[in-house]
Amino acid sequence: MDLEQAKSYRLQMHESRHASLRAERIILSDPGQPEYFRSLSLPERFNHLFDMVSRLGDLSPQVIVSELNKEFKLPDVVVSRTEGDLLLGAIRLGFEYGYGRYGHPEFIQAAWQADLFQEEGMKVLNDESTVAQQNLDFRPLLVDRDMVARERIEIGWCYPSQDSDDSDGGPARALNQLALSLEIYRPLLESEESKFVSKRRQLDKIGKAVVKTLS
Amino acid sequence: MEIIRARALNDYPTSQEAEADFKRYWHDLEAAAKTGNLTMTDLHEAGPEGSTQLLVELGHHIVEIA
Repeated sequence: MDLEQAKSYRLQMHESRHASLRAERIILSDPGQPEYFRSLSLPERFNHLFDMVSRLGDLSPQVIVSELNKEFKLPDVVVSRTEGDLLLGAIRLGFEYGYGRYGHPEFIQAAWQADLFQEEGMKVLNDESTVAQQNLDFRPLLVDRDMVARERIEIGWCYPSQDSDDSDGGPARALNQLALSLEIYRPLLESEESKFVSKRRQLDKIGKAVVKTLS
Repeated sequence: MEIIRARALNDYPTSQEAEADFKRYWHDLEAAAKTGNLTMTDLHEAGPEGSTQLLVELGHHIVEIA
């Protein structure tokens, strides 16, 4: 698969998934399940709404909550989800629905910025069964920067889970590549790389000095 | 809103008719949101500004539902 084919595949995949999702009705008063919805508490109802709208990926969870909070005083349990569960839920849903172009990168980036990704997000991604069950396919997201990712990984730098599975197809590797493709930790990588270059220069200097001394 | 407006402009010969259709359609969407009977497509087509308004209507529905 060359780059153009991969781009086209990525576009098709996201369009078709997004199209099928868009056709779903936001079931708040589903004629088939009115009793179920009525049985929910207010926080549960808002959570349901957030989950549904987050899946669409057009508005970030933070925007959804902040806009609704202007109009309603949201129950604390709902507001607190914006900092944790809501983002992670969105990430899970993002993976499930393959939102490469819509919510998915934004959610990951938001979670990363909120320092959630390293702890909780990694648990999700490192769970092999979750990865397998959801049949995650990172390839379309990786193509553009695959070469860069490979280069970086080859210098032996794996973040944030140095000791996790880094074999081909492993979630840590996929995560690394995904994060690279989203420019999430490029600055960190560059800083790490500059340390590497600086060390190599030092070694070069020492080596030259040794050679000079010996000769 | 842009998607809905653009579609109306495409479907109607004059901009006045298109604007009238857009307003009718938007009114229907608001009414649908008030009863919690909205599709994801509706929200998507409403765009960021429109979907925010529809969300508020949905929120009122959530609070009021018995």
